[in-house]
Parts: sequence; C-alpha cells; structure tokens
Amino acid sequence: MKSAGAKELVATVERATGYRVVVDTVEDIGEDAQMLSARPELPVHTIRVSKTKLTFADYIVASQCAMLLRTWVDVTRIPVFSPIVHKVRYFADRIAKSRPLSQASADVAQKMAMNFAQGLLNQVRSMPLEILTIRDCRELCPDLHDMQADSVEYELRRLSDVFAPKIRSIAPDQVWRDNVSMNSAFALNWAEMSGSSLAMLPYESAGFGLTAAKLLSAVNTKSGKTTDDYTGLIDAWAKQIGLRTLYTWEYRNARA
Amino acid sequence: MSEQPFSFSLRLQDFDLSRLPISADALRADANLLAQAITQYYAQIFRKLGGAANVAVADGAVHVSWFPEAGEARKLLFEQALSLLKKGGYREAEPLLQSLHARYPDDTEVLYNYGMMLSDQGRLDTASCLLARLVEVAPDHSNGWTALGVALSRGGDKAAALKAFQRALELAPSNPYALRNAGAILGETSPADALPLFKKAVQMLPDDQQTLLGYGTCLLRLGRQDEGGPVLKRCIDIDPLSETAEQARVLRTRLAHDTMREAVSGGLRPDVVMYCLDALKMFERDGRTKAGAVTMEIAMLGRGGLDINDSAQKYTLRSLPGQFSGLRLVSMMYTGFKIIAPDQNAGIDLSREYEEAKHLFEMEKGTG
Repeated sequence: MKSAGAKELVATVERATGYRVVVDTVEDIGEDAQMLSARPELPVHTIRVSKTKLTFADYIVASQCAMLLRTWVDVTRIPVFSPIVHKVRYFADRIAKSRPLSQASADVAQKMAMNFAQGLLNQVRSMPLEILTIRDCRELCPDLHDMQADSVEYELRRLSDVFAPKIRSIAPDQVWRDNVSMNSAFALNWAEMSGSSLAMLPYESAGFGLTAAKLLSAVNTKSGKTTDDYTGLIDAWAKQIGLRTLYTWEYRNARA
Repeated sequence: MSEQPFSFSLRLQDFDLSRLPISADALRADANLLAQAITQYYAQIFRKLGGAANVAVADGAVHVSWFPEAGEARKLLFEQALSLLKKGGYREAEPLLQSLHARYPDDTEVLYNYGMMLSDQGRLDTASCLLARLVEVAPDHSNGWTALGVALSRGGDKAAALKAFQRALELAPSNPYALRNAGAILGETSPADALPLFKKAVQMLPDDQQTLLGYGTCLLRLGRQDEGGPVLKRCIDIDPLSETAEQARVLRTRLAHDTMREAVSGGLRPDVVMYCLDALKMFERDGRTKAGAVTMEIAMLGRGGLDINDSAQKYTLRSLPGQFSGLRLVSMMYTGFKIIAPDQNAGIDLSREYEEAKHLFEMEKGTG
C-alpha cells in the first residue's frame, strides 16, 4: 500500500475500534473487496481486495476503512441491517407476478424475483454509505483523487448498464425504477463532487433528476458520524424507495 | 486569444467509450445520448485549459476547435500532457494526447508517450499500432523499440517482442528496460542467457519491482534458491499490495513449500503433524478467541514472510509466550484458520499434516 491517506485511515480505524486491520487479496468475488469486521473469535478487521481490482487497491482499502469508521462509530452499538425473511419473500412474490417475470416459468420467476429483491435491499443498505465514504475519502486522501475518480467512474459505467436495452427488458418496471433512482443519486453526488455533469446525462434524460436530488438531500441531512444518522439515512432512502418494511436493525456490541 | 485554433475531428466509432462514466452499451443504444456525452466531454477538457472551445457532432464524427488564450497550441497541449503524465495524472493526460495524435499523427513525442500510456492501461492493440508507427518514423528510437516490445509482449507475441528488445539493445546496449524485458522473455526458455541481462538491469534499477521479480524468478529457475528468495522478498517489500508483489509472493510460497517437502521426499512432515496437534490442543484448551488472536497475529507476521525452512526459534508473538520457528508458526496458523475460518486460504498447503494431526487429536480424546 503506497497511499499515505490510505495508511492514515487504516491507523485511524485501528485507534478508533481497538482492532488491527489486515489487508489481503482474494480471488474475483464480483465486488471490490470482502470485509470481515472484527469479532471476538477473529479479532482483526480483514479487508480482502479482489485480485481483479488491484489497480484500485489503495482506494478500496481507504473506502473500506471509511465505512468502518462510520459503522463502528459506537463500538458498543454497531448496527446490523437484518432483512425480515417472510416480508422479503412476500415482496419477491409480488415482483414475480409482474411483467416480464410473470411470463417465465414459476420457478425461474421466483428465483429472479428473489435476486431482484435482495439486490434492492443490498443497494439501499450500501449505497448511501458508499456516497458518504466517497466524500470522506475525497477529504482525507488527496493522494487518491485520480484512483478514486477511476474507481467511481468504473462503478458509474457498471450502474448505467441498466439503460442498455438488454438489461432494461429483463427487469420489472418497478424494480428498474427503484434501482435507477438510487443509481441516480450516486451519479448526482459524483457530478457535484467532480464538477462534471456527464455522469448525470442518462439519468436526466430518463427523468430521474428530481429523484436523485431528493435522495441526495437525505444524504446531506444525515451525514453526521453517528450511529443514528447512519441508520436514519438508510431508513430515509428505504422509505422513499418503498423498502422500509422489509428489514429491521439489530445492534451488536464489539466489546461483548 | 490565439487566432490559430487547434482543430481536429474524430470518428465517433474511434472514440473510446470507456473514458465516459456511462455504460458503453447504453450509449450505443442511444445516438442522442452518445452525441451529448462526447460533446460535453471535449468541451469540459478544452475549456479547462483556458481560451474558447467549439465542439460539435456531425456526420458521425466529433469536430473540436480550441482557441488558446495565447501561445502555440501544440506546444501548450503537449507540455500540459507531459506534466500530467509525470504526476501520474493519466486520466487528464489521455484526452490531450489523443487529441494531439488526431491532429499530428506522426509526431514522435506524441506517439511515444501516448503509446506507452495506452500500453500501461492494457489497451495493447492501439498501443502496438502507435509504437510500431513510431519506430517506422524514428527507427533509431531505442526507447520506442523497448516500448513496442513491452506492448507486444503484454499482448502475447513474445517472439516479436524479443526482436524489438534486441533492436533496442543494438541501439543502446545499456537500456535497462530493454535489458529487463529481454531477460524476462529469454528467462522462460533459457535462464542462463537471461541472467547477465538481469544482473545488468538490476544495477541500474535496484528498486524496480519488475526487474527484481524477473531476476528472482531467473535465479530460481537456475536452482539458485538461496539467492532468489531474498531478491523476491525485496520485490515484495517495495510495494506489498501490487500485482508484482503478489506474483513474487506466490513464487516465494511455492519455493518454501517445495523446499519443505524436499526434506521428506514429498512425504508427510512429522514435525508439522506435531505442531498442528499441539495447536489443536492449545486452541481447544484456550478457546476460539485465543485461536483467533494467535492466528491473525501470525497471519500478519507472515505477510512479511516467515522462513519455514530454518529451524531456528527466531520469532515471538504478543499473544503467546515463547519463541517459535517459522514452520511451527505456520502450522499453528494453518490449524487456527481451519478452526475459525475454514474457507480462508492460509497460503500454504499443510492439509495432509493437519488431517493426520486431527486424527491423532481425536484418537487421544477417544472420539476417533
């Protein structure tokens, strides 16, 4: 790890949480990194950077640390996002009945609907925090600005794949709109930070400008580094998207 | 404001869509969105440089005219691109070099810098074309031949790459990058021929990870493990999280593993079985929390390299009293991972010894 900013963030996490941070690599897992936060029987935070994303390794480590600093702000009350299984299943059943899934076999429709439901929940859980950590890293790691821009724009390209006809045609309309709404806030945040509105072009032209502004305004309102702000932000997004009833918060004590 | 604009046109199909923060598939599906995005992209770049910029998309191409506030446009753009490249600002340098190339296709400085940058980014076909054009226009450009060789080698054409490096060395026999890269190709089939090239390169580039990786690999291939191991360790220490360090780490682990196995002709290591058995007993006695603390401390220590082929008890831990050999620590770590995180790759295969230890452990407990 070369970046002074990333090293400083690692040191800050170690000081703030009382656990060492181990950085390692992992085979391609479809995500930037795998984070195993500390627990009594594994008393270190392990950040395993995907081998396919080593180009962005320093930035990925920095952003994972920034996430830890926000979620572990109170080590005696670490929020855990817990989907309510039967409600998620009901939500997935509704998705399965909408077009185009309703035209597939029941088995395929169920599986795809569950994937969509879990994907939306995962997005609402992670994306607001991701926006905040992008801002944190911008401020705390000036030596990573270029790497951050490459990484975020890579993500923006991936997210805007939903505008390609082949993707658009397989997702039920409401799932697509929910997903694009959250993506649009992510894009708007980057447009504001980078000073370039390019990332917002597809969202503006599809009519998501206002949605993006509303979701991003929740991020601005609840950007404080407290556990309640963190859960409140995710709840605000989930409420706006219509997912708030599908999960609950549990809290764990890292010292216990 | 300069009266002479810097103008160029580029076919939309030649525009690299990965420069935009928008999915290429989405852009290809929407011609208006594509035109808007490319127009905005160039307008932002040239307006940032000062002066005025006109950008328009028409007839399947983007047409750009930039009027700098003062000075000669080519010089201003190239100096700006070079200064960005030196600072590692590839993102901003690239569109400037691409624009310069569109306007001055045979400019050797542009061909060299743009070609190298694309090669580093893995865009090898375009890089090879630009660099091949460079050595055609400037056949005595030793660095140009080297850069072409690198791009060809990265693309898998090792024979053509070696020829390019050899041509670079004819023109400049001490070119360290040509030496290093020629060595890397020769080392695959003839490490004895590659070694003198690496020795010379490493004198000139003592902190270059790739040179050290190539040199260390070459030494291992020649059976000179005692010299190769430390060279690979140095390669890792320079930047432990880089891809080159990862390759060096794999080689070192394999080397340590082979050496360890050689001591028992590939069979079971009884000392490792006993170390694993001791660890199983200790972790059962002291619990999972202790197992986690010890395992992770060894794992962290191991990132810097544990010498498992030296029996000296030269390591200490904070989480456990006493002094330990590298092999004992690795055996403890392996056992610990099997208990607390069985899916985690411990980086070494002690599975046979661990299974034997587990069998003994269960027999002692009366459950086996």
